[in-house]
Formats: sequence, structure tokens, C-alpha cells
Amino acid sequence: MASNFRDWSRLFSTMQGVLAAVLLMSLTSAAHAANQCPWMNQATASGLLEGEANIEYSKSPAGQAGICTFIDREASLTRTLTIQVEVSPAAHQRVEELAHACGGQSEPVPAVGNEANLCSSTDRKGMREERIVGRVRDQVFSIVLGTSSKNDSARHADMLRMHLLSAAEQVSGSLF
Amino acid sequence: MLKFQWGKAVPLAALVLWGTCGWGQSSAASENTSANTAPPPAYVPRAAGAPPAVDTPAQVEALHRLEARAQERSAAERQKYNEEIAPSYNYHYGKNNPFTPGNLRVEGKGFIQPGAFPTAEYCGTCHQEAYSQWRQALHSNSFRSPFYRASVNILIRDSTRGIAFARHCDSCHNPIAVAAGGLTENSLVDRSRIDSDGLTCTTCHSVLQLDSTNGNAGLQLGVPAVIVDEKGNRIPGQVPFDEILRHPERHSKAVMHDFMHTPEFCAACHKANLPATLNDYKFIRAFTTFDEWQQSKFSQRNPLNFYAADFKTCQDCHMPRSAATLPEYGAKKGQFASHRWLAGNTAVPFYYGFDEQLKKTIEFLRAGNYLNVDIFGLKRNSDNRLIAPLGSTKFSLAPSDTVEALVVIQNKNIGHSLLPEVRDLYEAWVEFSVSDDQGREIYHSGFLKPDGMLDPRAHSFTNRPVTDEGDFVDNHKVWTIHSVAYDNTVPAGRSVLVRYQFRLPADIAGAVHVTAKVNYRHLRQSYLNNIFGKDHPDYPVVEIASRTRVLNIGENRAVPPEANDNPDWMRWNNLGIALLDQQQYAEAVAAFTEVIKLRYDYVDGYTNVGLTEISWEKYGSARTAIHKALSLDPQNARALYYDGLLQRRLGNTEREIADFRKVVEQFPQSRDARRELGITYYQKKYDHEAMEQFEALQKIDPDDLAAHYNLSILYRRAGRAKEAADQQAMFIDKKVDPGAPTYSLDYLRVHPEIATESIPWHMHSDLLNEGGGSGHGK
Repeated sequence: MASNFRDWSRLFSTMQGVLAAVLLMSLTSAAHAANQCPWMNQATASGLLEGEANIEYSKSPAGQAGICTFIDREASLTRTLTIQVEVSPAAHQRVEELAHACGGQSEPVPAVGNEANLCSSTDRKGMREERIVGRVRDQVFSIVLGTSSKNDSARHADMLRMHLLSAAEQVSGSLF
Repeated sequence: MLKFQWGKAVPLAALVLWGTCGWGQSSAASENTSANTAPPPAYVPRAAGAPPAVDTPAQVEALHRLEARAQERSAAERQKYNEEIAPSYNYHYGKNNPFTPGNLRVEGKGFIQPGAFPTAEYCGTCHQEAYSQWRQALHSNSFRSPFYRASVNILIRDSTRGIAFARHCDSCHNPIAVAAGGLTENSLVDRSRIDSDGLTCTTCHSVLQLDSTNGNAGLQLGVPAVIVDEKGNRIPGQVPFDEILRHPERHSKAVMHDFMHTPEFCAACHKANLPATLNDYKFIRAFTTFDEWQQSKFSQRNPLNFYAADFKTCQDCHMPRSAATLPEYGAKKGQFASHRWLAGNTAVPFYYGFDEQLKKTIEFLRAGNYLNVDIFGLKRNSDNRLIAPLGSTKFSLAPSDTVEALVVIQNKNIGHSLLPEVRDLYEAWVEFSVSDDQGREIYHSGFLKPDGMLDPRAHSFTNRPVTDEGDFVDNHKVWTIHSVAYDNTVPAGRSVLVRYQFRLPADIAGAVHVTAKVNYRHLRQSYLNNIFGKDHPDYPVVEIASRTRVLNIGENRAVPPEANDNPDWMRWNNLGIALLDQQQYAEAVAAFTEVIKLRYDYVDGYTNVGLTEISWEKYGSARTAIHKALSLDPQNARALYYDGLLQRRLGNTEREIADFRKVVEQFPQSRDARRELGITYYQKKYDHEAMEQFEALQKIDPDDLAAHYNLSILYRRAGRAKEAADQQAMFIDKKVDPGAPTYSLDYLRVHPEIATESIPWHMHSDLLNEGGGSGHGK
């Protein structure tokens, strides 16, 4: 029994090591994918998420959306920053569609791109989110900043909104 | 609060190294242009002249502990930061030139972490007036505005260049980003705060030293400190407010320097060139507001100006003191130097909704009597007789008359050209209109079309930089500029003449209303369209100056002048200056002679005749005029200068030297006098004296071609081979490319509207098809 336990312990330690290595490799891979978001670097996203963000970026086939997702996971808390950009020949109408699809009220936001609208915060699938949609010329962007915890002290509504607007300034600046 | 994230396990994970400063991110949409509305910490200024507070031993000890901690933390964080940033930084120009093509330097070795720079909100706790003004001003929005981003993004995306080249631009537009090593591919630097704040308080207030006036951020940025210790040693980073308030003199010593009150400070960025490291071509002068100021009457450094003025710096006009309306501990007797830097930019406050800044900018543009617009004279029916000065002379007009109007626009009180800096993007122009008593339009030049574009035949103060294929460099792609096909401006203190021709209708009765305006729009419509697409709101158009004259059909008598009108002698003088610059020497002499008739004892009247005749190469009559000027005022530096040139023609070297020396004694920073005296010495083979003059000239203007050329020869003669080679290389780099006129001509060939404008003497006219005009009309 004792030897079985030692074997299992050793196996478990080995598995932990393998798991850690796999995790390390996957994180490293994610990190190597770092900075591939064309509209915001990982460091800036980490600053906005107030944590260490990992990035997943899917390139945009022509005409379709490109999406950067920055995720900061700390213990039970997950914060995300998602940036989606698409090219639209009717960009203004597309922004209106996206703003309408927010549900609830949206308010125009000055001095972000050509135009932008801030959507009211939503609680969706346990995530509290703030969203902004806007455009720079014919490039339509949608940015969502969210947190999984209602008790996330760094993420009360005003702070979330402030970080979101900062993200929007970054993204729209890159798109100009 | 220390905010430091790194990953030993994930070495390429994002790094956010901020050091000791707390953060709150900002964006225009969220920001309040007051740092906070809470009252600042209590502070009672000491009486003027009172000695500084004396610290108790405990306070001294506490400060030393704080200093030691701050120094240690600053050094450790900087070292750690550099260990993380440097390995992946693109040292495109070598490790010794991390910020090239910009000229920025930093204190110490390596990059400075962004967190070393205290935030504007920190400063704004006590400097609320400064903060609220700065937040709406151009400096804080120098990077993030779409007008800049659109342009710099093109360079960053350019496949032959990339972000490393943007260090040229961002050395002035976002120096903290540059100093932090943020301008590299796959940057590991959090940009959100840096980009939002552009030139933040501690950008300017951490400058330790100015380099020579080369521009392109020619300065040394220190590790920021808001206080020094009792020995004057800088303590890096933020410190508790009570430490500052107990020793405001130490705060001042850390953040203020005498050079900050000089134009040379502004010159660090308000002077720019496009070096070969940016364009792979050669040195191209971009703009130099500083040199324009230095050559203007306000510097009192140039004896050759047409008019004189009291000494005024950039700061005097753009940072005037006024009563502080918010708590401001930097105010003296309630007055504070404006941190709005009001000038011409209406686009940024318009875009961001900074209504107060926009309002004050428009007031500034209109308030200063900066320009004088003079509908100076008329000619009728191709009669060469000039009816002038309008308002002071009788004349008559009849229906069907073909009228030529002479409009003189004087740059009266601007310390630089109209427009300075990037004339390819800004838009100033003359709008000239003629209408009858019923408002029926008879002639209109300089209108805006329904799409917002300016009448292409307007007389506009702009330039046309072109590539080596003669294409207009649109979108401010400055690295492609090889020549300037057209450059129209009104230099400081000078005037331009714009001619308009129109025909009065046969059935006209009553009066004719003739109006000339100088309008300004920041930015030109096509550039706005490039940034936003065409569906953007109309950007403000500001009328800077205007004049209307009502002319009667029939007899016109003399009328009293209006408040802003120049006296007649000055009106003739300005016409003369404009004609001189248009190389119409006979007419210029005639105009200056009218000045003398009105002011027979006006020394400059004779000098102006003389200098025109020198340009005309009529040296005999030039001597007569200059001799008369010197008889009225033998020490007049302006007349002495031109006399020196005339003595040279006569071979009277001793007189020549004596003249130029007197000018240099009175105006030691006169580049023209230094240059001519250097040439004289050079020709006489007084090499040491020549070297002295050209070296002095180079200190005044580091880019002067004559200095480079002559010093390369003089140094070689003196056996100083390396210095000679350096001067030669700089001469070759800075002299105009012999191919440049070809690029310009290629552009002008296919742009007749500009080609016509580029001829000094041209007429704006509706009568082209009738043979009465030359190439203009609606």
C-alpha cells in the first residue's frame, strides 16, 4: 500500500510536472502569439485588465471580422477584453445595428473614431460587461470589457467604463 | 502603488512596469478637464524674499530616507525594465542611437520606464489651472489625435520602414513612448496612458538640457524628479505633497530651468528636418518656426527687418500670463502662464469637444492684429496708373470698367510666417469678393465649394511637397519628400501682393462692395477626408483679418481710415516690400519713394530703396540711397549692412569689414552679418577671423550652408582634417539636390492652377477667355 501510494505520488508528481510543462508550453505558445493583435499590444491590454493577459487572435479573412481576445485569469476571477474589427461598406449603418443590438440604452461617445456608442453594462453568463461600438472610416470596431465577478473591486462600473474608453481610444487610434 | 507584472515562466508575456506612480487611465470621452474638483492640500506661500523653511533634524532625516529609497527603487526598476525591454528592442541604427531618427537623448543609460513619469493628475492636484488648460491644449493631445495618428500610422505600416522610423515623429509627439522603448515591433510597453497624455507635465518639466537648435527633439530628458534635496540633488519619482509644500523652492529647482523661458526651448520640437536616416535620401528642411522667430523683429537679433518691435519670445505670445481661475500654486500674484499654448489649431478642440479651448483659439486668432489686410489700390481699364492708397485719393469708377485690385497682406505681428510649420496640411487663403448694393455677386475668389474643398484657384498660403516623381506628398508622408514645388507664405514682418481683376456690370448703380479676407482652416479639407472619409462635420473656418471698401460708381473722395488701417507711409512701404519679393524692382523703388515723400527723415525709407536696387544690380543708385540713409543715422545697422555689400562691389575691403563689424557688434546673433563678414575675411585670406565668424554663424544656425561650406575649406587649410570632412559631409547632405527643380517642374506641369500661383506676378481673374486675365476664374 505504502509503495502504491509512493508510486501514485510519484506518478501524480510526474503528471503535475507534465501538466505544468504542457501548460507552460501552451502559455508560451499563447505568449508567442502575443502582440499579434494589430490594434493593441498585449502589454496595453494587460494594463487595462489590471492583470497578466494572454491573447488569442484570429485573423480576418477578407470582409469578415478579425478578433483579438485578451484573457486575464486569476484564481476564480476572469477578466476579458475582446476587440473585433470588420470592414463594412455601410459602416455607419453597421455601427447603428451593433449599437441597437446591445439592448437597452446606448449613448454616443465623443472623440472616439468617426463615431462611437457606449452600451449599457450587461450581466451575461455571469460576466459583467461594458461594450463600445464605433468606426474609423469603413472599419467598424466592437470592444467588450468584462469581468466574471460582481465583487471584482477593480471592476466597478465606472472603472470598467473608463478602461473601456481607454481601450477604444487605443483601437481607434490604431485604425486611423 | 507599485504595479509590476512579469513572468519568469512566460518570458514573452506582457510587461507592465510602472514604478512608483499610481495610475488612472484617461480618454477624452471620460475625462474631466479638471484633475479633480477637490481643493488642493493647504499651502500658505512664504512672503516674497523670505528664506526657505528650516527643516528639523527629523525632517532632514526623513527626507534623506525618502531620497535613498527613491534612488534605489528608481535605479532597480530602471535596470529591471531595461533587462526586459532591451533584448527585443529593434536597434535599427545601432545601440548607440536607440532613438534615431529623432534627436532625443535621455539621462543615464538605457530606456526610462514609463512609471518613472508622475502623472498629470498628480501634478494637477496642486496645479489645477495648469492641468485644466493642458488637458484641452495641443500638447496633451499631441499623439492621440486622429490628425496625427492617421499620418504616423502610414509610416508604421510602410513596408520599407515601420515603427522604428516613427521615432522621428514621436520624439516630439510622444517622447515618453520613445524614451520607454515603446517604438519597436512587438512592443512590451503598455501604451494606454502614455498615448492619452502625449506631452505630459513631466515631459517638459524633466528636460535637463537643450542640445544645439537642430530640432527633432534635440534635448536631454531626465529621470523625472519633482523635488531636489537640500544640496540640489534630484529625488526621482513622486514624493508626498507636504514635502513639496514645505520646500517649494526645491520643487521649483527640480522642475523649472531658465531655458524654459527661452525660444530655444520651444525650438527643440518646433524645428524639424527630415534626415537621411528617415528618408534614405538626404537632409530636407521640414519647418523651423524657431528660425523664423529669430529672423523676425521680435527677436531683436536681425538688423535687416523692415520694422522694429519690442522683444517678445514664443512664450510671450503663446503662454501669456493671466488670472488663474482654478487653484494654482504655480501662480505668482494670482497670474499664471497659460498652458493652453493658444495658436492656430482649431481641429483638436473641435474634435474633442473642448469648447473653451476652441473659443479661446478663435479669439486668439482674431485678437492680435496679427495681419493687416489692405485693399491698397486699383487700376482701371488696363490703364497703368495706380489709384492709391485707396481711401486717401480721389478717383472715379464707371459701369463696365475692368478693374484690377491690389490687395496687400502684411504679416504685421506674428513672430513667424503665416502659416508656420506644416503648410501642406494647414489651409489659409485669401477670400476676395465684389458685390453690388443688392448683394449681387460680381466676382468671388477663395470660396468653399459644396463639398468643402477650397476654390482651387484661390490665393492660398500653402506648399506642395513632392516626391522624386513629381507627385504631391499627400497625407504628410514626409519621408517621401524630395522637393517643394510651391511654397507660399507671408514671412514675419513682410507683405504679399495679391492681384484680382473683375469687370463691373454695365447696369451697375450705387456702390461696389469689395472685401478681402484671410481665412484659416485647420486642416485642409482633403486631409480631413483622408482621415475620416468624406462624411465628417465641417471643421471651423476662422476669419483672421479682413477689410471691406465701399466704392462708388462715379466719384470717390478720400475717407477717414478705420481703426486697424496702417498709416499711408506704411501702406506704401508694405506694397514696396511685396513688389520687391515679386522681383518687380522698378515698382518697388517707386513705392518706397512714396514712403520717403511722406517721411523724408525715415532712414529705412532710403535703405529700402537701396536694398531693392542692390537686388536689381543698380549699384550706383543704390549707393546714393544708402549714403543718404547713413547721413541720417551713421550707426544704423541695417544701412551699414547694405553699405558693406556695396563697398565689396567697389573693392573697398577695409570699409566693408568696418561696416560688417559694426553690424555684428550691434547684432551679434545676426546670421547675415556673420556670414558676410566671414566671406569678406575668407576672400582676404584672414582664415582665423573667417573661421571665427562661420563658427559663430553655426552656433546661431547649425544648418547654415555657407558655414558648412566655408568651414570645410578653412578647417582643411588648418590641418583639421576630421572636422573638415564633417563639415563637408554636412554641406553635401544639406544642400539642395540639383535634381529637385525637376521634381518640382514635373508637378507644376500637370497642375496649372498651382503653376500659375507659383509665378510671383499673377492675376486672379474671371476674364481669361476675353484675354483680359491670366488663367483664373470660377
